Amino acid sequence: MATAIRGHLLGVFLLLVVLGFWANDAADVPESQVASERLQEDLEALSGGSLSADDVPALAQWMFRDTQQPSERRLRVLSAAVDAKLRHQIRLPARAEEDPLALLALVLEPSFRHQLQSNCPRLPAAISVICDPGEWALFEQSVGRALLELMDRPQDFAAASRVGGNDLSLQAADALCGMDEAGLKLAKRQVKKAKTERGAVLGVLAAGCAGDRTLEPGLLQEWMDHPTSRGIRLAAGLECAARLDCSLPRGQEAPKDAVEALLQFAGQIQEGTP
Amino acid sequence: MNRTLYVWSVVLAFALGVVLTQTPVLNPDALEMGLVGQAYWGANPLGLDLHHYPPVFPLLSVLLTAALSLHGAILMVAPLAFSAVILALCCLMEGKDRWLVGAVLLGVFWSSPELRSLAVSPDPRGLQLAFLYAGIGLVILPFQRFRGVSLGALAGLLVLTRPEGFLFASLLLGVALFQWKKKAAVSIGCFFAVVLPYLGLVSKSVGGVSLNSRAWEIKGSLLLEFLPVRPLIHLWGAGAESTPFREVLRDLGPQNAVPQENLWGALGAAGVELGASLLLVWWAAAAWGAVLIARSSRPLTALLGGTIVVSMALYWVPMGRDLALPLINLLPAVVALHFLAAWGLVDGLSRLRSRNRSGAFAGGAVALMIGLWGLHNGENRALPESFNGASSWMSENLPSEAEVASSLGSAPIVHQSHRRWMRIPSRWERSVEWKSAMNRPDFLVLSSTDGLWMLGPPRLNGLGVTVEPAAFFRDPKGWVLLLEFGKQTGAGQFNESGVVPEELEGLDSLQQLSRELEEGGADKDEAPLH
Repeated sequence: MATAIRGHLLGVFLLLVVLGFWANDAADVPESQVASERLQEDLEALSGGSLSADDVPALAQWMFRDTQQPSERRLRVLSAAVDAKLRHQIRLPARAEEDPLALLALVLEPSFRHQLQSNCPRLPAAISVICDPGEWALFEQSVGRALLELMDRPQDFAAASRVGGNDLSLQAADALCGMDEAGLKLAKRQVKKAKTERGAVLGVLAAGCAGDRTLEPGLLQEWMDHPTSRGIRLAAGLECAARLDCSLPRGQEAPKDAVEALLQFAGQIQEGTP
Repeated sequence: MNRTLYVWSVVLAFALGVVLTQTPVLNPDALEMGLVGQAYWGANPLGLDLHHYPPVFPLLSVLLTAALSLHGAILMVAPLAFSAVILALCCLMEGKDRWLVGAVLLGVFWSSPELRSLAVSPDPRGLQLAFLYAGIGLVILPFQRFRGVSLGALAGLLVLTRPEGFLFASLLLGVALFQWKKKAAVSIGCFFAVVLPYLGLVSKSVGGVSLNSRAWEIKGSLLLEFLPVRPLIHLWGAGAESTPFREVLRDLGPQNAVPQENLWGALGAAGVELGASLLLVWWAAAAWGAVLIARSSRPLTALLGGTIVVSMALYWVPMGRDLALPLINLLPAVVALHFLAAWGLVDGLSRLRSRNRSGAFAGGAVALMIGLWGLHNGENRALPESFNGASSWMSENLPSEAEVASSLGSAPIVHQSHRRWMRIPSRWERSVEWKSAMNRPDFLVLSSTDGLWMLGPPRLNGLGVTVEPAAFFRDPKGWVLLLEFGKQTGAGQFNESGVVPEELEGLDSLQQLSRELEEGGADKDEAPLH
């Protein structure tokens, strides 16, 4: 018995020593990796065309969003400006000489498109359709339809979605937030005509954009009083909570700020309202 | 002594195999648990919610900091726990041919990507496995001194390790009660002695009787029906960093029912994942092992079967499902299946040995080789190298007092750089919380773990400040983008409505773009004609 105990103690000791050395070594960040920062290098490579935007999608998307970036850089990354998972879900009616991904980016980013349209008709064939109002309207409609369809897709349950994930319906809703008036129109349509309640909720999120978009007076109130959809009431309440100019219903005192409004709203969850 | 030597040889071989071939992953939850452990003893500068995490992992990691750095201590818990699992399983297979048991057990367990990965990734689930299988060993193996007390303590530790520990503890104590009758009262008493003080502390912290420090998550999951998962989790916050929304959820009274998914759909999904978790080559052995155990030991059948059923039942609630890591909450069942496979294979090879000794040893060697092949060639779930690069760069180049915001998933990058971490508030709160420069971080870290969705809609909520890229790191597996908050501009930098950037500088670039597109530079795969 004593021998066995000594054997076990020796085993535990050896295990702790081996794992201790390993853990100590594994916890260190290698010094040699300090030099791997490559922002300028990649920006220059993107500008010079020696690096494909698809090789650095995050940087490309960030550059495209950044209106302070030179237009040339933004043009270079046009085809990769929309997240790959989203753009691969949208079938786009483009001619062979056109670049559907660049056109998709221009649908989702109207301010840059307006800038380019000021140079019509001297645009390359790949994006020249933006100079033809009729054709462009058709293209925009097909993108809009595709986004709304995506917003009606059921979401996948994923407890660890906090570490990423692939919620295309949310990406579609976020895309509408970048689309100015056209995005707002689509979002309102989604609230009215969504096939699922969750699709309608995403419509509300896409309309309000977490307090980012100015909405016509009374619209949020109308949604917060929605007669049948608890989801619409809830999402509209959240949007209201993120706005200083909106107060939640039920005669509560006006909140001092959005966080306080959020607290009021959350307090109503269990009571069945909103 | 021979038996002890044999058992520890297998355990040490397992541990050496995984630590020498697998790259450790410092996962964000485990890192935060280490910080929680430190906060038990001293300051809590991040304001972490100390009762958010059950205490065993934080306490164990902080105990190990006596000899190691915090990161090292956290990393060490994972292989330590898995070694304990192998030790328990080795003991459960006592009486069989030792060489075969060692070779087969190592081969079967090394062949599983999930088990290899978890063996070097700190996660309380590893400890849960260790306590569960040690408890199974106590119930099944012949009389051992103090086993009643030990079983009660292990069952208690299960509850103190993971919220679902209650289910596994009930399974252990239930079978012990069935087996030992009145003698199990010692175990049950000991269980309550371990658990009740903890539950008392939790209940005191949340202001009411509570069995689960994360009951608020169950209440909030009612909202999953309406809201997209990611913003919702963002709203209530991940990890031990509390949010106002979570506080309100916590204050709500008990819910009538836990949200559930379709029972058959959940069981089917769990079954599919479990089916894929075991190499095809082991399935026949697992089936044979199940038949043998069902014939020979009802308690072991009940314990292993119960473990599989309880794990699958977790898929019934939304919190038990995780698309990114579908097996993470099924791990007790995955271990049970691998154990059954090892049992069946050892039995088969033992029968073969009576007729063909060399054939049996060759079989054991093949099993071991399959495991070694898995260790050497299998998928490695290490974090991208760029994450370490970003940490190193930040520790060299950012001011030591800099505050860096990120998601919980990217938090290890910030923590490893020894800079102060802040969570990114939800999209609905950000415009208020970050309005004042005092409350805003100096930097933002986004990584391939998050994607740009973390910032929500493209405009960064019109905060009216410039946000500029400060550094970028990439490797084939991922990327990290460091953004710096700049000066106040009065308008958001990113594509505010109606803000037109500088005039287009000629059309040279457009013509060049056109040429490139004509040359086939762009992806035309999705370009059906009008």
